[in-house]
Amino acid sequence: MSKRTATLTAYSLVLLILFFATNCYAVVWSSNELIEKSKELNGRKLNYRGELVTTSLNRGEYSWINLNDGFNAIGVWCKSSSLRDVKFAGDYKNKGDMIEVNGVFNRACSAHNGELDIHADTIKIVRYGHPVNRTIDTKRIESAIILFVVVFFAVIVFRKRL
Amino acid sequence: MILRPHLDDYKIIGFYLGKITISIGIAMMIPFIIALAYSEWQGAADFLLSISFTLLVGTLFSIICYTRKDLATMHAMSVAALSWIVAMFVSALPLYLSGHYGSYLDASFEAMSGYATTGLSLAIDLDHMASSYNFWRHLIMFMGGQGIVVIALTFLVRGTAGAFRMYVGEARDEKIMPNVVETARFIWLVSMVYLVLGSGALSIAGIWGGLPPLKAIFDSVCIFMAAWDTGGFAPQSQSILFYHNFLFEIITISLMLLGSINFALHYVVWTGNRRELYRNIEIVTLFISIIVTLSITAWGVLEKNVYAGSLPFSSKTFYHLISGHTGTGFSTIYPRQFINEWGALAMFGVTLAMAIGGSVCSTTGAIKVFRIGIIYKALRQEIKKMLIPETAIFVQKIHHIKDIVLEDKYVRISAIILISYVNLYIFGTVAGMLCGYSLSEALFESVSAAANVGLSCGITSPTMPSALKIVYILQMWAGRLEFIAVMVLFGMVIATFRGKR
Amino acid sequence: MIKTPFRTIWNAVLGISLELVLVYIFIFAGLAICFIWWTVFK
Repeated sequence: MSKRTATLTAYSLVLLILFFATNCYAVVWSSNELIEKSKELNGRKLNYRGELVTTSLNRGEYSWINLNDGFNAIGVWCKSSSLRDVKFAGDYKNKGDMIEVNGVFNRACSAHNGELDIHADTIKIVRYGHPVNRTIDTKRIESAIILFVVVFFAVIVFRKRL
Repeated sequence: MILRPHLDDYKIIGFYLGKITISIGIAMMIPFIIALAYSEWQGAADFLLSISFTLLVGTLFSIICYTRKDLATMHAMSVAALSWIVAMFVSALPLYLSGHYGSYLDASFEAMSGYATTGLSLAIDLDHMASSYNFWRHLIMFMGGQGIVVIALTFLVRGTAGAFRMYVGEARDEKIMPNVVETARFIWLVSMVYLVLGSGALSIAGIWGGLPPLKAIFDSVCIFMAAWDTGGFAPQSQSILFYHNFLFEIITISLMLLGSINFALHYVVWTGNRRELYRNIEIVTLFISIIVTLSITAWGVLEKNVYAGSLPFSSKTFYHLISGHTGTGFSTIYPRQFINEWGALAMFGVTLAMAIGGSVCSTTGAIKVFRIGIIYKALRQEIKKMLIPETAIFVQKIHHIKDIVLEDKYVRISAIILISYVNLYIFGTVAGMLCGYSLSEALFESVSAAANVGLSCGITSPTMPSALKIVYILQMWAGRLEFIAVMVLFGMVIATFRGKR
Repeated sequence: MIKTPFRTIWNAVLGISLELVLVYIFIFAGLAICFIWWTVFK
């Protein structure tokens, strides 16, 4: 192979790789963007990622999950079977599974009373959730007990005035 | 000639403030027990601290200001007005300790929003809030809707003439039963009956919709309290949209409408006078008002061409109109969608509905349909007077429980309150616009705060200017108390400095 | 006439039922209005 052909092939390969790389990069939309750009995104297949919050709502063959990306929680309608591997839903005691959904975005879904939602084609658990360890502030418990005792005595001593 | 208040006057106010504060401390025991039941140890500690602090404040007030005298109108109004401020400060403590609020101001905003049954929320990460704090938010709403004074009357205060004056100060002037304590108890009875029916219905609907049973019951009680007291807090950040459940929407609409009915009307209907349901001036005015504001809103939404079918269109439009008109604030769309999808005309329709409100002596806010009805009848009377022969006498009657002659004094007070609300709406709108928001947005949010509704178009958020937070707190407070108590309080403050000795 | 407890409860139950009927009249009317405007607009 001549030097020129080799260089051309190398450049072509680089361009080819870049072309595929940029097109394989999937855009994950934020909930704010979904709400602000709802007209533009209506009916499009897109990706959204958020933490599963509170609980999934099983409606038989399909379920609702609400995914919170830190700004808003968006409702996702998906097949109940795709939620088999879900471990945690986010609440006080747990951090929920981070779920990425690929599906059709609806600005005012006719099937669901005009709600803004995503009809999921695929569900992917990006990161499992876990129970949250919370340390208790012992100072507060001490202050609480001391204060309570003070009030208790105040009520007893001055009970005629209350 | 206004006299300077005496030390005795301050003592009376302080004493009853103390009693009311103690009642709130006792009420905090409920979320404390819930925290223990759910093993939320930090929550339990926070509530124990808050209970102790609140009881301490209340006890100190009662001990230092001890008096056996009864309240005169001036005292009662001042207590009514001040108790809401004190309640706000002490109730904000557990919320602030939860860590879900950016500042004590934010927590106070939330507390006032709860008591005033508004429903605007500054909570951060609500979806991860512990059940005890969340329940406290909703319980505050329930207490505010019933009336903080009503709560105190139920447990701690004797049913004296002064007690009745406090009750009036809290914008409840219907004398439902001869004794004010009996009146307070009846209000509780109606609320408890619908608590059982409403929470029951919601629980069943929730379980059908896929909620775990315990969660369904917890949420149902919380949502009942917010719907019946036309408040609008919800356990999750998406409001009612979280549930994706049309049964929830129907049941909450029913509860919202029931909660916007005058308690006096509940009383007469429950004791046999069923015809009142269609003869009453408030029911008739509310019906007409809903139709008019709904039409404006519907037209606005249709222009924007958002919904593909008549059913989604109807259910979304009707839900938010009722939510606004009854002053609840539940929503099945995101706040910014009001601006993006619904547009200015639809927002104006909802704003108008919010500005009008529900019945007097109910849990709703705003001008209230009774006054709208009165002013309409007064206008009719004026026009008729000019058309009939000069020697003829025309007496205008209205029907509210019984037939009442429309006297000038009713028209006068209704007009004064209406003008006061409009001024309050304008004040908040100007404040919003000074902070950079458009007229449509600022008006919507201002009316939502002053009329104690809670629908938001996006202005209310933890990042909004602190000055605007304070403005909305004052609006919620003044709007809930229907001005008189607030004005009497200011009058007392002025009299302290300028009154005759 | 002395009201027996039965009468009191019966009145209350009837009252609640009629209040619920009123609520559903409101809901029906509201949805009907929306539907009418939808048809007119389209």
